[in-house]
Amino acid sequence: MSDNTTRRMLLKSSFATAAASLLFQPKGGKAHKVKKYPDTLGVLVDLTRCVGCRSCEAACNAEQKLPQPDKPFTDTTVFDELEHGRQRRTDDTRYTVVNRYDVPGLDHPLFRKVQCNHCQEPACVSSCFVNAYTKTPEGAVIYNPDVCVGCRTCMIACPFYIPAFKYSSAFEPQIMKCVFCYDTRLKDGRPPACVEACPQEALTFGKRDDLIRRARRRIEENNGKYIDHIYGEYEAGGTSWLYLSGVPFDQVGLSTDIPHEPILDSVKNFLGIVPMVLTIWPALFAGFHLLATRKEYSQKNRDKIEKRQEDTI
Amino acid sequence: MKSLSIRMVTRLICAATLCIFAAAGQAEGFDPPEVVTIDMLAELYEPVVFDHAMHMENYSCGACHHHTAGEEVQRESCRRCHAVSTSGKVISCVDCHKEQTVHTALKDTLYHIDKPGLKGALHLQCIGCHKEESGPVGCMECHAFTSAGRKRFGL
Amino acid sequence: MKILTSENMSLPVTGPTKTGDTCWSLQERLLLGLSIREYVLQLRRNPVNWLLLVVFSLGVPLLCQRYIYGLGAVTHGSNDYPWGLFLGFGLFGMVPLSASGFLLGTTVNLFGREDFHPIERLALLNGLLGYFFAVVYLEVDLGMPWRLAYPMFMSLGPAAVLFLVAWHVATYLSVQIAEVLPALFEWLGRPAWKIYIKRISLGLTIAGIILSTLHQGALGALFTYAPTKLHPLWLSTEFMWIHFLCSAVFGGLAMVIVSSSLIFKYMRWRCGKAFSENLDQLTLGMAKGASYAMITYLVIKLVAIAHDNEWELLLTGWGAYYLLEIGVAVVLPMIMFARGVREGRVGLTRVAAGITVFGIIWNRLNTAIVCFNYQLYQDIPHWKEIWLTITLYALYFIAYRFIVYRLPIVFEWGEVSSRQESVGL
Repeated sequence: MSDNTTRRMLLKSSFATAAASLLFQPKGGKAHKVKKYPDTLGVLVDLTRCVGCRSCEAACNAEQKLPQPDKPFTDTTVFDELEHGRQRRTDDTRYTVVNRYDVPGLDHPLFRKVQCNHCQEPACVSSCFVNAYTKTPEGAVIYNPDVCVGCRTCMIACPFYIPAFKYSSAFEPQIMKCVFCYDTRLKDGRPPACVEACPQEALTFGKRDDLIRRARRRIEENNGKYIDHIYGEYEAGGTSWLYLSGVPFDQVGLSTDIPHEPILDSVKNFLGIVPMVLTIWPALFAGFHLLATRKEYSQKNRDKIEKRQEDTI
Repeated sequence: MKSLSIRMVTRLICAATLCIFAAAGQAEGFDPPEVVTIDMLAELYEPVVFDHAMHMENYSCGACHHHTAGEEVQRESCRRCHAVSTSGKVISCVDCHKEQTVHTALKDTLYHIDKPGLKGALHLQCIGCHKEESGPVGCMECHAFTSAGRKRFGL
Repeated sequence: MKILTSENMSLPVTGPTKTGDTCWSLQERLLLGLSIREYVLQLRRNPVNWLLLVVFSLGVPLLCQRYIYGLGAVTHGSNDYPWGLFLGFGLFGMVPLSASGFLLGTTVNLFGREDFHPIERLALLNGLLGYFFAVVYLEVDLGMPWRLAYPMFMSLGPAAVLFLVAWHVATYLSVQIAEVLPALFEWLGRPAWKIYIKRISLGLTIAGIILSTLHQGALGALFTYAPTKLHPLWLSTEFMWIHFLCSAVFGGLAMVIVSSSLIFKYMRWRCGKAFSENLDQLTLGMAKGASYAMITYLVIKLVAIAHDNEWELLLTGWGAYYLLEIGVAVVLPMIMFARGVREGRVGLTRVAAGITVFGIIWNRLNTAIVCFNYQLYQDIPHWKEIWLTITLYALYFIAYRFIVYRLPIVFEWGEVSSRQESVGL
């Protein structure tokens, strides 16, 4: 390369690089902004009320037309099911599951419904490189199987282990997750099927802001019955589904390690360097090149000048 | 759509039933019903016949009817404003505990912002007390499935 | 092949012409100057080919199974461990080991270190194939492989780290193809075409640096999406990208050392004069580079622990495992590299390079699988998944060997081999 590089060629190639970097610039450099919707809807889950009747599971199964499970929804032996030492989780046949938690010092078991928490700034949305996910103004995090490539980064990114993949299908695999009954109910302002089915009103549907007020009131009015924290108010940047509990949240299987900032915040460190690398690197390395090959250049330039002088003579 | 209309109809019936009792109570002073047939979940479950008389014998009205049945108000949070129970226009559950709607304008209301809907109120009240008093708490102990219910639950 | 080249003076094919004026035909070039019968015979003589056959005899049906019955048929189909070996090894392992292309390209073209020229093409090829097969692994792992181009054209999610990876790997793959093309042009007998590539080679090199910096880093940054799932010792939201980039530097160099050593040992007949004569000295040069990168890596690993104040985690079981990884995969080869360079022991640096390559893969597997979900259970990949991973690697091996056998990668097109020279050809 360097034995017949001229400055013109060098300029050309650096132009090419600059052009290339301009071409690639929009990527990654753009900070992701999730809109904050003021009237976003949500559900308040009161874990002291849930009795583990699994009506929500049955309602979800019917509403989302999911396959009939082996055991009926009245079967409570599912609470003892363990897979890899873990209680049931959402998968491609169920968007929600109820698990039982035996909390030490409590004479009765507690139950918690697991489903998508519909984050305010969802990690699945920000990690998806084909924009298959959308956070709707109503609050639902919905998914478009028509553009999904099946990379499963959303499953890596979700701090709540919610999205599941239909591994069993070779031709129509897709992500399966709770969509807040968006298509069938939420977009008309109606509560999701699970909420409607809940006999105990352990699930309360409403505007997220109102739900937070309600939750606060419930904590205040029931002196000491609840832990003084609304899980989901800040977790992962806030979620549309909120939880109240009488026992510490980690005892009912809700991770307390989840940061209060959106998951995207921890990725921003990297996203921030992208424009820097794209703009500084070309100049920096072209400079290195000139520096490293300066002797050859000056020799070559001297030769050229001499040659020209000879020609003019 | 079909299931929806059925549900609506049952709700209406249910509300009507309770209203009638309430109206009866109003008209003749205090004449509480012997039984209350609750069929708001008629789509999936057979109606529940609630033995009101038995409960009246064993418990005070205020145990369930907060501050609307003329007896001692038991709930701390109610007592703050309704120290004296006023028996009158509003007695039955459904008079206060309506079906939940989404856009309850919470901004204008200072109190009663966390009032459960009818289904929640009934279950919370029944199961909450039954746990303490060893009453029936299992779903099937009060509710019998309809065929639609059996189907829904995969039986 | 070794035996054949020693028997037949005109072999191996090292230039456009056979003997005198006759040119090698394309078929002869493809068959290494052998007749079909001879070619098949030498294939059968090589025990490695039989081993490959065993791998493929099971691997190919498994591959069919994967494409007919879905990923769930060959993997555990875990929702908790969405990324298994195909990505853990194939993408996260192969890509850093393929950083060689941009490293040696930079050394030669940008810093003007012409002395590394004899190994530059091998490094470029190693890079190209590594990236290509990372994409192959990806195609096996993606749920809908036929939608590979969706993030480019159909539906863009430009704020996602993976978007950056996709675009950069795709672009860089093209850059690398352009960089390896001159070897193909020579082999095809069209050396004139090279000039176009050569004119933009500095541009290509700088583009290579930018793209490599970003996507090597981006592969690390992908895990910053899982701040609660990956063990904090392996995850540093601040430094993750720089850890991945820096380890790719010594990973890529070590991979070239390993690959060139293997070629030199088992394909001596193929090695040209410049490659053979300079290899030892170049190996030491790369070893030196690798050891510098390793000490840098160690320092920033330490900085990351200090930054997140995770010292006490080092005392836990995971901490012991972390220290084991750092010790075996970084500190040990670093010392070996340094000693090898100082004392001129090329063999030692080759062993160190082997350990380093293993270490990089180990680190990436730890990050993607072992220490992922550290609070849950451990997922041991399905045997079919392991076998398929090996099958794809065997495919990589075959492609690598096929190209090194033919294209002027480790020899100069048209050069007269030393043996041919000695008998006066």
